[in-house]
Amino acid sequence: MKKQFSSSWWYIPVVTAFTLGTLSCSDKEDKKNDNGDIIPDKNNAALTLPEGFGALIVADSVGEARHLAVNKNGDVLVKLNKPKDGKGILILSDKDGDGKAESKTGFGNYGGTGITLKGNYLYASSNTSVFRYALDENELPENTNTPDTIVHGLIDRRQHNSKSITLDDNNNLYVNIGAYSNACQERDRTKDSPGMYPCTILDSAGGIWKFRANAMKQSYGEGARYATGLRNVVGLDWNKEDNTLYVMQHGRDNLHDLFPDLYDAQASADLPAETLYKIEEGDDAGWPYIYYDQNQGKKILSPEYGGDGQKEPEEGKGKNAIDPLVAFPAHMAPNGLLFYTGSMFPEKYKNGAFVAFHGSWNRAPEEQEGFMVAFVPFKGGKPAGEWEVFAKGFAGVDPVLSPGDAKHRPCGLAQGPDGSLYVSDDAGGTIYRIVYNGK
Amino acid sequence: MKNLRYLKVLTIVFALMVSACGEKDKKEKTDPVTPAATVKKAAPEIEETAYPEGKKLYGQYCATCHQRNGSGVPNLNPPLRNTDYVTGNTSRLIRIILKGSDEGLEVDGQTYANTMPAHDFLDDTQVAELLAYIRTAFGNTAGPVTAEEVRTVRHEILK
Repeated sequence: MKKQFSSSWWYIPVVTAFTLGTLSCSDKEDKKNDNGDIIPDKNNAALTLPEGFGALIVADSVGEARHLAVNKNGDVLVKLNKPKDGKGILILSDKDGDGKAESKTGFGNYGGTGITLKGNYLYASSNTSVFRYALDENELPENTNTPDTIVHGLIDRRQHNSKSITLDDNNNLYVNIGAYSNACQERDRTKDSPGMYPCTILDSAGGIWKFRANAMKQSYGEGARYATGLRNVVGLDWNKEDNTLYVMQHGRDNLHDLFPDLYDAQASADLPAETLYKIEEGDDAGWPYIYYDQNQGKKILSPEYGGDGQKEPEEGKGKNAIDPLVAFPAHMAPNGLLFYTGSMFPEKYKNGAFVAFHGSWNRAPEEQEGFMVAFVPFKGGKPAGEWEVFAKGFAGVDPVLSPGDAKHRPCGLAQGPDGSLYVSDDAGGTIYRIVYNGK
Repeated sequence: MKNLRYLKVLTIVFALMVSACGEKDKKEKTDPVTPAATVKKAAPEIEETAYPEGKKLYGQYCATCHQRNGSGVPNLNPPLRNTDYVTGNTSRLIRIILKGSDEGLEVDGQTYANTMPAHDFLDDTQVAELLAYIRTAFGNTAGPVTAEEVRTVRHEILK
């Protein structure tokens, strides 16, 4: 008996030692190599990436890191969902050139999602307002206690309240105002409650609003509704190649819970698509009257408005809604969108779109999906191929049965001055940096 | 080595036999006569089966948002495990089920964005079954809820 025991259990200490050894190795030796390239973490920060790519952890446990921006010196500015120690915006700086942030300072005692650098300013948003900070010669904000209030008084009813932002090259600021509703029912998410017609939420939310980037204290009266019929957009970006706004919409929830006779649990887990739209001024993406069914490849009338899973949009109910450029699987929650303009990554990635998927919560009883960064190749302002998974492994568990189990959830994307791709995580508070060292 | 392998197989077979015997023993000896032993045997399954109707209702109306394991969804839907809202005052809990909640209640220092819809279409017995399940599932150990209690709260709401 004794002998048998020892012969089958010998591997436990060995495996443990091996694992510990691997872990302790991975934290070290992240200096630049001879070519001046940043050296990824030994385990690529536990991510799975395409051949030639590597990843390192810039900082860990920083808080609920929503969107982020990187300045010309490589300092990472992170917007936190809730302030941590009174700081809602963090500045992470790498002092010795190894890619790891040794210094962490912060300012701005408000939570929110949006943050972006443009010209001589840093823009950041709370769930009601957009603030602007003048930058010093190191592209760091100097008036951290007295920012300009560019926009204020935007609606915040908790649900879909992230005010994501992006700017064009003509001093215009685009702000997402998400619908405080799932499908514009009279009673939100309540079975047998009818859809409001017209959906009055669209007057002040469910779209993208445009403001002047350099005018003070604007609100609905001073801005303009740039696009409507967008349930909730967290990831958005101004594409410099074709000078156009692109957005990722979060599709609706609860088709089965609300309409069990029309949609079984499986259909509800698979529908509707998460959608990438190219937005021209005045566009209507159709929410709440329609959703996009990626399996049928078309827009479908919402069941709250007389749809049955097959009927197509009707006059006044999404008939003129635009089509998405890309339809992703349902509920994966696209929270970050970035058009890559750097030169570090191979040619295929140039001007293509990276999408950070936060990961789903409403696919029960199926496993949850997402928790990854996807890539869509673009050519001449159009998708030039199928989307693919670019970086995965954030969740740290597989399968993910409940989103609370995911250790990390991708949220924001930013490009560094050298072309590195930065990914923020609002669950574990990790800031990732993805580099290409392949030749 | 060969001997050792024999020994291994033999031991496993022996162990399986003994445990199988044990099961059989227990069943034959204790099931019909000793209630205590019956309860003990059912213990590991209490969470699964004590309120099967409640569990079914949970799967149908609650699990999408609050998750199968009652963990909820960070920032969106509150957890149902280990919180006073579930294991504490039953009137408050019944009220939330029947009326829903759109006030951004703070649950253990966190607020949650999504609306809790009203579930007044469930009858008193269904609500009682559902709440009994939730209050004993996910590691919760609170007492059951009666249909009578549900009816009382429903009347108060309608007043």
